[in-house]
Amino acid sequence: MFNQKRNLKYPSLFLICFFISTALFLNSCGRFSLKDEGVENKSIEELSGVSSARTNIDGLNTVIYEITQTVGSDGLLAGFFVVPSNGISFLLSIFKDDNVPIWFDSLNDPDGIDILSPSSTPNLYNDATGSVGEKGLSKAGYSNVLLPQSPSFSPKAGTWTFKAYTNDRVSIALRTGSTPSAATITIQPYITGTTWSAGDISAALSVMSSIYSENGITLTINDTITISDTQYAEVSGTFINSTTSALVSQGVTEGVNLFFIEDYSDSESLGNAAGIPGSMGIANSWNGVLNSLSAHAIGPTLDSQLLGETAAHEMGHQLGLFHTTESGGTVFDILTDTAECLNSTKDFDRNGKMSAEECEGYGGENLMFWTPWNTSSRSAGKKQETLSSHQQHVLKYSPIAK
Amino acid sequence: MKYLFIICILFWNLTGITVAAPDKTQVMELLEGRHWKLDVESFQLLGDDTDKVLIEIGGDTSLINYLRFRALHALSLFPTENTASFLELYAEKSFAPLARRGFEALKNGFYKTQPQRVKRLAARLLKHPNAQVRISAARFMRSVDAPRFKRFLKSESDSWVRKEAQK
Repeated sequence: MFNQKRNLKYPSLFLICFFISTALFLNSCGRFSLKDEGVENKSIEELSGVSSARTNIDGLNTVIYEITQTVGSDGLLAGFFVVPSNGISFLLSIFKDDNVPIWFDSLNDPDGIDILSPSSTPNLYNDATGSVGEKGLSKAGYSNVLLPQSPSFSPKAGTWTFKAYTNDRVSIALRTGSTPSAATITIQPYITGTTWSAGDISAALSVMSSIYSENGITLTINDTITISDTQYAEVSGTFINSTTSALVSQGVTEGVNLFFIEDYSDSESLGNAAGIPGSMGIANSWNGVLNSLSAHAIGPTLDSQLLGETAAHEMGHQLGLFHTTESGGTVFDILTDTAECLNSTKDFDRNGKMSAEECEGYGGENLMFWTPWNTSSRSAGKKQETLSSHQQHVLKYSPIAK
Repeated sequence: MKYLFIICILFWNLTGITVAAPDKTQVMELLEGRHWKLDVESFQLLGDDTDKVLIEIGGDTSLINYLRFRALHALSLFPTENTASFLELYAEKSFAPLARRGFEALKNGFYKTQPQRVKRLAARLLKHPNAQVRISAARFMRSVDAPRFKRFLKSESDSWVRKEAQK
């Protein structure tokens, strides 16, 4: 009786409550019906836990967005995203702006299988920078999970869920479309320093283009951009170094950025990538690879064949390819069709290092072998230009390819 | 008996030479790789005269630079007088990438035994035309001679070099 009187006293309040209740009810009905309909007919925006505007990468069928995360009772951050039925690949990235190591706790596919768990088959435990594990993969400030990292994995349609340790954001680059039989990848070269100019690296870029073309991937190589600021002539090989970060962050988002630096200030590498894979489609510290020009010179002349192979090799890392055989001959990539050169049978000089010469016929010819041919082999015309079918698969399905 | 003794002495010396001076190919193998870190243990196993081979590689202008760079780096493990003289020469007279590596190898190999020698070289390199060489020398100077480092900061015209030197 008392309530009746109150409702009669405030009819407008009653109407407002009624409308809010109805709206909430219809909203929940919508969610249930969405679940029943499946994901096939819904757009990514409708379905995903999107917390930022979606960005379409120019010229690609790849979208990038940040994923909303919620804190779970276990203290971990949790989120989800949806892969539509025409999903080709995705790169799930996690960031920590103070550059402390960061990774995911789990990544469950639509069937509930945690592909980062060592007990799942197959799994990427220890084989993705974004997985927990101690294989020495760099996770400082950034790590990720790429699918497919081999043909054994596919970005199954449906809802994927993840749990992650404290981070600043998680983003996804999701490629959709028809199954690729070939691929085109845009390359943006940059050159720093004053010793060499754009014309000096054109032969190396041709070598790199030829290597990829022979393996079913077309490279669209943009004009080389010269960066004249002297502080970028020689930079650290560490991508979280502030100067290297400022340089690499200048890279384009629609392709792979190759920075031909005059020299490293703290490394003796021929080149190095920002990650395996690095970042794709986002301008940041991990969006490119470094190649040292000085290291590839004999006197004032660049060794274009070796420089081209190095650029192609580092680009392979940036897109998710590992060394087929590591230096000690005991660690290999996860691909089942790449040759393995075993220390136990091929280290003829017993020095603990597998040379390309010792591994001839056992992966020494592969672009992703850990070391180039030695000087005398290169002089004799030996090259590292081959990629296996599975390596090509990873590249063709890349979120940064079309 | 006397001849047998002489033959034994000769044989012993030759064996000694073989162990002490590694084959150039052996050394070169340890300098290979797209990504490279100094493998201290493997180099030390090569023997004392490895510095001679590394100096030969480091000074060979017909070789590709990455082998020469790494040879200089590895020389820090063999702190002989030959090594010091070679590194000083290259730090002062060679092109910038070799100059910086020459200085850094001298610093790493001789700082504990001959700090004044390293400091004298660093002082000269503070005026090197290449920024990274100046930065490397200045960082060392900061740790051994703060007033001189401050004078460097006042005289250095590139602000980013001053900033890097203080890192």
